[in-house]
Amino acid sequence: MPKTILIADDNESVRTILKLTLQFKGYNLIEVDNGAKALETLKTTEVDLLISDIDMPQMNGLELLAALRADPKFASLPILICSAEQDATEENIVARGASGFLTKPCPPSELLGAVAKFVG
Amino acid sequence: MPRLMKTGIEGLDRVLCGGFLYHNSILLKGAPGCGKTTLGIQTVYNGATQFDEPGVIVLFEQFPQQLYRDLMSYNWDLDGLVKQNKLRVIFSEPSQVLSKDKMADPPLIAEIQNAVMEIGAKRILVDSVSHILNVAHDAHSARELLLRFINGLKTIGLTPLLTAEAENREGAIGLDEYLTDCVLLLSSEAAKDKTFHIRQINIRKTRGHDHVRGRHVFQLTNKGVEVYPRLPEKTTEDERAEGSGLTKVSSGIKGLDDILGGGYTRGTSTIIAGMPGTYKTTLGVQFLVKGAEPNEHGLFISFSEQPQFLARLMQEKGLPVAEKVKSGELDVWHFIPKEIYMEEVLYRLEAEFKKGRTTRLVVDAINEIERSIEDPGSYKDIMAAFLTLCSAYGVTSLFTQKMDKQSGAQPLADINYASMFDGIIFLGTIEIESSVHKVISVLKMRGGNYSSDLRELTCDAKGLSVKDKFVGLSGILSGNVKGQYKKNVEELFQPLYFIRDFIHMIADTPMEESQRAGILENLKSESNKLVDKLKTHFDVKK
Repeated sequence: MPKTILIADDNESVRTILKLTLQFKGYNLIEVDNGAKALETLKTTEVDLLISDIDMPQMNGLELLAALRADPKFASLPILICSAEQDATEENIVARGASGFLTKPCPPSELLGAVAKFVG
Repeated sequence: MPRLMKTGIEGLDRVLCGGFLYHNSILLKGAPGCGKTTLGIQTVYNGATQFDEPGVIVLFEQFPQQLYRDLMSYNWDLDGLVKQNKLRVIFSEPSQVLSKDKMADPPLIAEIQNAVMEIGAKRILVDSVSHILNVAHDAHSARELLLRFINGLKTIGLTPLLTAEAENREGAIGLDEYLTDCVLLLSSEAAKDKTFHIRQINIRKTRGHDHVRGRHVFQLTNKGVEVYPRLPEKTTEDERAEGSGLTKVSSGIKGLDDILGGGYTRGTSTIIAGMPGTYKTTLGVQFLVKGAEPNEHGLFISFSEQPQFLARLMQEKGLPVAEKVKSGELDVWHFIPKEIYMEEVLYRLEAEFKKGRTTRLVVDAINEIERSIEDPGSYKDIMAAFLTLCSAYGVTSLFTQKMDKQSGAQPLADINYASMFDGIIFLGTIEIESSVHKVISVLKMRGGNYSSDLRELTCDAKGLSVKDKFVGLSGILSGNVKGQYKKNVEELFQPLYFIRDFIHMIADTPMEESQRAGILENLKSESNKLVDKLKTHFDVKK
């Protein structure tokens, strides 16, 4: 059974690259363009990993992270934050409850390596 | 402190520091039609209806029935007051002020005295004493006659209000002004740049008592005379609304709250300055519509957009102005600068604040205030009055200001009276690689830490959002942008990394032919997209 990964990013071309990269490894993918839609999807769909951008309309990645970690149902969901924000570092993003952090632009080899740590 | 006779006209009583001294004679002087009779009657009417002080009105030229009819337009039932023994109206001849001999009272004084005894009158209006002066043969006898008449009224315990026609000669001081204790000069003149006459009261003297100096604007409304004191009283720092402290109120924009250290400081006034089309008005509306707590009341004063147009405009941005107005959480006042005195706006604003429900105010835009003021020198005083009012009532306020130019690194230089405001937010535009972006920056915010980063401001169907810093760029405000916008770099590098890594994978990883063909197809598609992006980025035509 392939693992399901939810991608939340408002940039369509970035979503396409992430999708092509992850499809290469045979993952099942769902994509949304903001945090609010990601939250809705997670409530109705079983997901093995969430990859989220930070700067998104409506609900940004940090708000999404906080909402998920506040809900016991998502306490153990692996969440990988992938962002170009200058203030974001692995240390402060993990301190907010993320499982991992990648700086954008992110080479596919790094992405696949990080994803493998959470979903094999 | 002596007891004061209130006129019952709130703005006038404030200008009079509480009212007139009882038994002082009061002259209401002005050209025909400027409102002196209405002001006098209103003072007598209010005395009878609000302060349990019956009154007398003496008319020389108008019949009582005609007066009753005219005053019903203000809903003043004078006939009713007469029937309740709270008012006597005497129609007389000016000659009735002349005595048959020096020892006897004039017939009019005797008639007034009878009325006073019947109803216990305290106030009297004589309309007008110009007629009395006309029956005298010369200036000396006119003086004698008027002085005797005024003293006669005082002797029987009345506080006389006397109307008089203004002298034709400018700057002339009439006899009546020397003989009375208080003089209120009323004027009505065509105002520059206004579509109506400007009515003003200038208090020349109030013997034995203080008053607020200067010219005070007044209007004849359907409630009678309404006086708008020149400026509200100053508030000292100690008198600022209790509890305003340094707490924060939301701007209605999450990203802006973040850079403001939680939001605007409660009870402060912030100027939102920017060129046209930089979302100044939207920023104000979002503060009222999205920033407010449930049931928190906001007020939007528009000197430009019509309320219906504003509501339609904001609806497209996901800001339901009409809905908020309907639910009573928001009021929108629209004024055409040419048709309003700022004193009146301030007066109404204070009355609104006194209700204690309004906590947020937006004024859009202060350039229109500047345009509407007759004397450019008073603009600073008017703005100070707005800020004083907001501060005194703990109202958090935003004032938009349209800038004609954006002078690079010194935006403060173009903001009028920037030092008067607690906060300054600058909105501008910048061009990055042939694309115009809106920029927001907090230049000043009293109370608490704020970030002075330049951030991108965007607007969609959900309203305004404050986005990232312009990472990788410098010289944004000066218009001399240097560096590469990191967002654009990310857009170019992400597919480039993909192409590089997948070429390596094809070379190094064993895979089936169909998988290899699929990857090659993706690489072809992504490299074509990348070429297109680079062409756009570097403006390459071929």
